[in-house]
Parts: sequence; structure tokens; C-alpha cells
Amino acid sequence: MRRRPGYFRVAAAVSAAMLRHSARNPFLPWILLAAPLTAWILVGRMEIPIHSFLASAFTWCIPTALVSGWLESAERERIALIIRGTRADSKSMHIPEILFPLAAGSVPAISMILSSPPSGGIPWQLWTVIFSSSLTAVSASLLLERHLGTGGYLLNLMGFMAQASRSSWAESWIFQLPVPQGYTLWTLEWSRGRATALHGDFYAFFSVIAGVGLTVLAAKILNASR
Amino acid sequence: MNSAVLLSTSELVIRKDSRKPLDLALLSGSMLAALGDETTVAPELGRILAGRSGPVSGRILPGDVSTIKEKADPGMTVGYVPGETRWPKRISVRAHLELAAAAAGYPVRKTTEAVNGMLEWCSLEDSGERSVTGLPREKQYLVSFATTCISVPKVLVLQGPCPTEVHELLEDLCEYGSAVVVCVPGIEHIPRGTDRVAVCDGSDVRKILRFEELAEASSALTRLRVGFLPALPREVMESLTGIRNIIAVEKGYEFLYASLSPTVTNLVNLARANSRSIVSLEVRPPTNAELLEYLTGKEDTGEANLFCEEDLDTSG
Repeated sequence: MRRRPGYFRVAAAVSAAMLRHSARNPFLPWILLAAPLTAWILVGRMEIPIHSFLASAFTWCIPTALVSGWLESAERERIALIIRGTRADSKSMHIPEILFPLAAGSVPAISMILSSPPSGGIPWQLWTVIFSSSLTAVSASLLLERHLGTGGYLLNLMGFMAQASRSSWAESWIFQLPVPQGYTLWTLEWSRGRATALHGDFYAFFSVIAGVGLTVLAAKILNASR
Repeated sequence: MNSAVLLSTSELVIRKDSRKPLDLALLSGSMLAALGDETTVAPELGRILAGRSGPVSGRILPGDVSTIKEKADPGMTVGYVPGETRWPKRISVRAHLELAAAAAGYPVRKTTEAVNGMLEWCSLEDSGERSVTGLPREKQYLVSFATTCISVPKVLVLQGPCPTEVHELLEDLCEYGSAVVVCVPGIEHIPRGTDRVAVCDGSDVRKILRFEELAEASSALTRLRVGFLPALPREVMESLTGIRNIIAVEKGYEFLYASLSPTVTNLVNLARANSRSIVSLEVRPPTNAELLEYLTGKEDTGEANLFCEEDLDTSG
């Protein structure tokens, strides 16, 4: 009798396919470079430390770059065809589809923060927000793309660029709560003792709610599009 | 041969306009061809049996309906080979098979052996390191087949037409004890070794018959088309023995025949006797619609005709 399926090999194949797919994605330079740079340079918030901004960009933009276009890609279609009907089953594909972009976004963000930690140390809220935001980035990008197509990319990137806005309305909690793209930056700002619309606890709480809630919805999309 | 039921359907309704639910059992070592093009339920039946889409109602059950375990998952043992798929660029045949082997549960140290064995069985040894996108369509189908078969599925569903190279492999699978379902658009694509044929129309599986029965029906409906130069008068053509239903076509005639070899001999003699040349000769298998009409026209309802028209006629 054969043993259990090689889940790690399946996960490695899915991760490699996501990397290959994102490398060919025409939106990649926009997601990874143009949007964060535009946000940082043009929106007029030059006082934000580059480390904080990069951490925020890694948290959101890397997962977004990895999952954009992935649902309809030939790579995914082929892996799904191979895996379905085997002992591994489709779920062994869905887990790395979420966890790999999450890790690809949160690990560089944490490295960036560790290279220049806030003076009082890294608060627990920041750890929570980074992982939850990356999870939200994966799920939100999948959901926006599925329901809005190219408009979804635009909305996603606009949300990201809006986090650096200094308009008074952009600094109110009513604006900030529905924009999970900015949770990491605002929590970082809060941890560095700057004035933010909300306490770090709220960002952590809502990032977990958004991350878990949207992931449940995104998992349904992944299941349905196998 | 072990003839256990591997997959069965219970009251399966494929499309909303289906007239009759389908009860079907796939036996170990058997091969079923679902005959029908894209407009019929044949490809849909394949997808439903493979768990790729859901029926309107009814159930697909692993094993026999009468001895079924409610929670068993049929998808775990059913392999599916789609007809047309997109392939990612620059991924080798071997990489696809290695992933399939990992998913099927081969340990790392046995993967190479399994992949090499599969490449050899499918005659893909020369293509192992090549990108799938660079292969011809037939080979791509073989790669798709190989990636599905590396897990040795108990039931294999294929969307045809499959290349002839696959036909022999399907027989191997049946010998091993798997059940095979092939969805084919025409009778010329039915693989050898097929036991039963499910003839489908736009709403139902109309009839399931043994391959021999289909062959009989097919030979009764197969037409011969012959072209003469210069054209042969119809009266002369009608004088030929053993042919019927003569239809005039461009530069010749099309007709039903009793036996191929004597008919061709007679045609050659006829052409010589009338100083004509045979410019074309074509054996034309029946279309699915003709076959369906023939088969369903012969259907017996099973009810005795107790009230014959003449008995009821009281006018005289």
C-alpha cells in the first residue's frame, strides 16, 4: 500500500507555480513598484519612514502580486486537474495557495521591522496585524478579482495608495476601518508613538476579523474554481 | 476477472429535460463508451461520473447501490482525463508526472521509478524532459492520461476522442481491474475493447447496448459512396444485386449494402462492363442521429399489443 500523499511536495509545486505565474503577470510591476512608489512619493507623506512604508508594502503587495490572475491561470488549472481525484485532493492545493502568499508577504515585512524596531520594542498588535493583513491581502485580492475583474485590481491598489494620504478624512476611523491595506502602516505609526485614528488594539482586532472573514469567503472561491 | 461494481448511479438526471433517470453500474475490468457529440449529454455524463460537475438530481455512488456506504467519496478513486486543457508554459512532462506521483502518495525515493515506468508505458520516454506545450496534441493527451493514471484510479473517465495510442493502454487498465468510461463524439472513435456503448441524445442516455449490438446496427447502416467517370445511369446502378436505398450524389451514388467485399467486386465489374472508371469509393459510417433513430425505432415497449387496429375497427 502507498503512504499518505506528499503534501509538502504538492505545496512546493503550488508555490513554484504561483511564483512562475506572478513573474509573467503584466500587472506585477504596477503592484510591486508603481503603486507603492506613487503612494509614497505623490500622496505627500514624506515623513513616513521608508522602513514602515516598505513593511506595509511587503505585507500587502507581495501577496497581491502572487494571487492576481492566479485563479484563471493555466498553472492552477493544470495542478487542480492533476490533484483532484488523487489521495491528496483539492484541499492540499488550497492551503499553500493561501499560506505561501501569506508567508511571502509577512516574512519580509517582519524582517524589515526587525531591522529597525520601534523604540519600545515590537508590540503584539504589530505581529497580529502583519500576519492578518497578509491573509487579508490574499483573500481580498482573490475576492476583488473574482467579482470585479480588472476593476478589482484598481480598487485594491487605490486602497493601498490611500493609506498614505494626509487628508483629514483619510485620518478618520470611518475611512480607515474599511481599508485593511493600511492596517500595518497605521499600527506601525501607533507603535512609534505617532497620532493615529485608532488605538493599535483596534487595528489588530479588525485585521483578524477581516483576515479570517475574507479567508472563509476566498476559500469558497478557491473551492468553486477548481 | 473480478467483476465488482466500482461505481454506480442511482436515479441520475443529467439535464433538466431528461425523460428518464439513469441507473448505471460500472464493473471492474469493463469499458463503457458514451457516444454523443458536444450537443448531447455524453460529455456531461463523463464529467458527472468523474465528480467534475453535479447532476440535476440523483447520486453517484462508489460501489453497488445496494451495498453502499453513505459517506464514501467517489472522487477519491475516479481519474479524469479532459479533452482539451490549457498547459502552463515551460513545464516538462516529467515535472507534471512528479507532481501527480506526489499527490498519489508515492514516496520520494519511488517517484522516479514510478514516473519512468509511466513514461515507458505511455511511450513518452523521448518526451520526458520536453515542455508539454511543445508537444503535438496527441502527445499532450497522452501526458494528461499519464498524469491521471499514475495514481492507478479504480475508475477512469476520458473525454475523447482519444488518440489510438491510448486504446491499447485502456485495455491494459481494464485487465488490471479498473473500469473505463470514454466519451466519444462518433462511432469511429470508440476504442477497441469497449464492452458497452451508451448512446446519448440531447437530453438522455437513450440506450445502453453491447458493443456487438452496436457493431451490428452500424454495419446495417453503413453506406458505400461510389463515384464513376463518366457518370453511370441510375437504371444500371439499380441492376446491381445486394444494394438498397440508392441515393444520387455528386458524381455517383450512395447506398446501403449487405456485404462489403462482394459489393465492391460487383461495382468493379459493373464499371468495367459499362466502360466507366471508379474515381472514388468511400465507406461512410452512420451518424449518431441515424444510429439513434435505428436503435430507438427498434425499441420494444415490452407491452403486448392487445388491441390491434383491425380488431377495433367496427366500421365494417
